Amino acid sequence: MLRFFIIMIFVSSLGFSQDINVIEIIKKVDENEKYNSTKSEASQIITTSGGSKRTLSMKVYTKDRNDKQLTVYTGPARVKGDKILMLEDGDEIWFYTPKTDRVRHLASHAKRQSVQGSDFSYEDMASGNLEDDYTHKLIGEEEFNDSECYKIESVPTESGPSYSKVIIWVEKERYLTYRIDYHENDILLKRLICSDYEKLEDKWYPKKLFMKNLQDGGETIIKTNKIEINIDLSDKLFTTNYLKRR
Amino acid sequence: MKKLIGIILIISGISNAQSFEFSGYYENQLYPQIIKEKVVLQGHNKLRIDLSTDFMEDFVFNGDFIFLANYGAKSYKIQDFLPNNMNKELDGFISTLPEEIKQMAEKSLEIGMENRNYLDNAYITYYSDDFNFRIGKQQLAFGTGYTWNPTDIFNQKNVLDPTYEKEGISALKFEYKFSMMGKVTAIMALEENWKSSSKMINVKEHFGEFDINLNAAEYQINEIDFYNLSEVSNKEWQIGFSTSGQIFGTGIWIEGANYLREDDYNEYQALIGLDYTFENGLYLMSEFLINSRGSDDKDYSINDWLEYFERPNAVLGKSYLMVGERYQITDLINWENYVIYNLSDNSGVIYPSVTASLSNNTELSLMPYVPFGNDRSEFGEFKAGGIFRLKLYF
Repeated sequence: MLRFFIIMIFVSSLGFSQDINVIEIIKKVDENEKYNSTKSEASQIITTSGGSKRTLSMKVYTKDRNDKQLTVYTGPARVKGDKILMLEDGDEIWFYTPKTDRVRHLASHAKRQSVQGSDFSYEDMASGNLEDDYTHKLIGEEEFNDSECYKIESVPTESGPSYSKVIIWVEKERYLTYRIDYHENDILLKRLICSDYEKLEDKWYPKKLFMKNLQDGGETIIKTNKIEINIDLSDKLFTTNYLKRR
Repeated sequence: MKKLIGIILIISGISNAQSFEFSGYYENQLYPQIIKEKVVLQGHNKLRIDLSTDFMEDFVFNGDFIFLANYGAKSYKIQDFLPNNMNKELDGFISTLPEEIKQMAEKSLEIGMENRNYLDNAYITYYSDDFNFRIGKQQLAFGTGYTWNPTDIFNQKNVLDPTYEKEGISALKFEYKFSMMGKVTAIMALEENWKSSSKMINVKEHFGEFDINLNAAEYQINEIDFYNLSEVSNKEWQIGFSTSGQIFGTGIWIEGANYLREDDYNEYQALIGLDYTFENGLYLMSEFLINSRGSDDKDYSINDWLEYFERPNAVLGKSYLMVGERYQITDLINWENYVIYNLSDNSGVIYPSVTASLSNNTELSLMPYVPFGNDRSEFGEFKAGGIFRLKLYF
């Protein structure tokens, strides 16, 4: 009985120290990848399972460590002027299209919908808050893309996204997200690979995001072509009033 | 042709002086429908040219011009869409009229499909930190409803194609932003005099997970009294409300308006809508509309039908249910299916649609519809048809 009690204390203390480590890792990832503000130009290349390609271009503005995010589509003509405003780490989303000159507020369920036919959903585009939106568990260490990574299982909380769990590969040396697997009821739905990290000031920015839909075989790449960081962006840019401004 | 070349030269001349941005689309639409047991084909070639420029600091010009060339059927008669009993009544009434008035009455029942080249939108907007001012022919749309918008006094929606663009309205619009998400909008849609011009004020704010709008409007309604062969103009006031947000993860929107007139007319329309996206991406939506001025049974009059064809927000029945689904079959193909059901006369219409992206800038939409219901009902007299639309953006 005494031996059992000692084992229990040992196991629970192991679990406790492991939780602290995970939170530290997640905090470091957050710290490493989020800027006060950014202004970038990116291409979104969608490839269907049949091989057809569509390329969209956009400007993305973020502020307050991604708490506020505005995406403005600049091409092709079919989507030009469409805007997506995300506030409170993506909890609140509005979509504007100049075709009807109307702003639509998206309910949280609509965040599962695909953005402009890509393999990213609205909730994938929202950066979210890793600390508040998930409970994390370190499940091991694994090599990915020739780098040693922590492998973390993250289960969304009430405020988190709709997936049942995600597995995150965090590169050990610089604490950068290398890969995320999105699961729904034990089915692996999608895989995101973040690469081409560039050091801008004291943080790192992934210039290539590759999302593979493992259900239908489609894939989408978001490639950042130009980026400015820590610039002065007005709060007014991140309002529904601004969405109608051309 | 000379006129077209002239317009292009003027535009290109201006564009050399200013940095104009050009865009637009070409659309070919075919609209086959069965009318009186025959397939009638109608369609159009439409070229829309959009241009915009920041011609001064804080001033932006936007505009678009549309060249519309129809093909197929040149006109329809309202009788083509009316129940048989009403056509008999109408023919009987027309036959009693003197010859010169008879022609006038018959003409008023024709829907012409004229070729048009027109300025669809053209407006200048002044933007400042706290307010915006817009003058010109512009888009004015209100309400959170998808199929119907009780608060929208400016536009008439096609329930089978509710998101299709509407022609601009000449108006002055002033917006004052009183908070990050809140604003007051005042609009005056210009008619021939102050009295007949539509005036509207809208207050919008975001609370918690809801966008909330309050409207008040004054406008003139011109109604045709067919049996007296006259047009009656009435001043009407509207108090409206709309909201959209979510409860327990389900999207919800509510929109309602009360319409008042000097002649004791006091009616209302209200709707509630719900939507939800499942984990597999399947999107479901439903709307329920109540309309106090509708008829409880299918005893619609010719004046009801004329109002139905002419007036924004006009519906025939007392209550309607719309149920829809949307699913992205592949990254490039979108499937939608909707059913509208008139609960007053038990008629309805099913209209599935498929939209495929053929290339970066080319879209093909196939939207067939199948109405159902008994004779004399709203949808029962219609026969199957469809809209086939090819759109090339540039």
